[in-house]
Amino acid sequence: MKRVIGILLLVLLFSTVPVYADELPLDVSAVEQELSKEARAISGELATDGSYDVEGAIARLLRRTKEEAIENLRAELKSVTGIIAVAMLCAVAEVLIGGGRGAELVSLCACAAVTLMTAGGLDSMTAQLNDAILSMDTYARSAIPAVYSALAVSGAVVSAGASYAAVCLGLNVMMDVLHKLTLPLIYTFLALCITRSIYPNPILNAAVNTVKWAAGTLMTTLTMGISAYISLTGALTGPADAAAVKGTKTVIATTLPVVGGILSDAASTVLASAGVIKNAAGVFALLGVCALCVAPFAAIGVKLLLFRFCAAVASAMEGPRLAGLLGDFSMALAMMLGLLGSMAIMLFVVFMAALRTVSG
Amino acid sequence: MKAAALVLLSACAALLVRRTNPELGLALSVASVCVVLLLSLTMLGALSTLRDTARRVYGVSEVYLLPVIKCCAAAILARLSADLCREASQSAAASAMELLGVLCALASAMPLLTSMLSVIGELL
Repeated sequence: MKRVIGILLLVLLFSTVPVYADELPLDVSAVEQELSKEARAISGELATDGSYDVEGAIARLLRRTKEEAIENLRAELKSVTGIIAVAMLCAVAEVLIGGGRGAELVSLCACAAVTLMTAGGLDSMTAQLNDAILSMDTYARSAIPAVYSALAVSGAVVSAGASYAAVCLGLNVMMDVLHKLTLPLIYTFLALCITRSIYPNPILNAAVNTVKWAAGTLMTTLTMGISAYISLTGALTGPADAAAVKGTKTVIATTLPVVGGILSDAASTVLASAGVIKNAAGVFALLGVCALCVAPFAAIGVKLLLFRFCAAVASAMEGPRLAGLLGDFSMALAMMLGLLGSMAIMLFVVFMAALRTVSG
Repeated sequence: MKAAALVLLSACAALLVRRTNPELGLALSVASVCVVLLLSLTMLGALSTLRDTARRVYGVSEVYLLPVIKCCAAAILARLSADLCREASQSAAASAMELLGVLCALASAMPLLTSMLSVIGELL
């Protein structure tokens, strides 16, 4: 009897076959592939096994920001010194004329000259801003489905679906409002400021202040509103996922007598693996968005600072008209920076919502 | 210093001459103004250097600088002429001269202002 049992055990031992786990039905390569070459040079390669070099990517991001800022500073210095030279000449001319209508006309000429000198630069800024927003939108539309499908596979089925719907709605609303309202408001602000420099009067002052307030409030409200909506959706549906995963594991463990516990633990491991992939993709996407924003942020930021400097110099030399106009140009650039920032912040909130969701 | 001395001398001389011959007094004033203006032309070299530097080194186009210079010249000439007219007790002529000065300055600034208005139109 003992011999029979021993032979049976030996037969069982040598009759095992190798079994391999199937691959997860999860492809997050879109998060990397949809990035531009320059952005990919900053963000590096996506590693879904948890070995993604975040510190290296952040270091490259900071280095690239510095390089872009220095490059833009060198490119803009010539035009800025030209503006200061015009302000200087006009200041001398006004002193020679000694006040009166002639001096006012010279001040007007200074404003006109500076407007024409900077019009081309502002145009290229708005074009760069437009391109940056469109590239972020294109990237988001590819990366968000990848990250949220990883979120669903990691166990957050209910919240992934609900959050994804909220994110898509938020993104569409954001793009619509940015293109159809916010950008035109910035153009209107610029036009009103230039008109005010020709003919300062209380009505134009009120119009300029109203447009500035409207653009700022619109961007702030939109960003906060959409972020709150996405966060609330995730918070409301999160407990449902936790309950569903726990319930499923309990059912598996209790229904299958011997292997139920093993299967339940294996399922948890699969969910955890999917969670690792989701987190890797989410962090990569966050850094990808930063990489897309680097060039326009540096360009607009440097120009903004240089215009503030010119306004300060002009206020010491020329007079309130030109200094006011240069200050208004720097305010318009600040609004453009705010527009880019609100788009970037919204994408951060979207990816952070996916990263923060933990199920099981 | 030379200009100051010249102007003071001609002012005193004009004051003396005006009692008997007001026309000669006015002619003295006009002559002293012209001499001072000629002397000041030599001082414009520094301004001209600034203008050339702005154009050559910083790439500021002549299109932006020329209207400013023309405005300045028109305003200065108009003011001097108006003051000379007031000296001759011709207030109406002085006002007309000032008006003409503003119109000339406006005309020379018109290309810049037109371009500025077209930029506003493009933005809207």
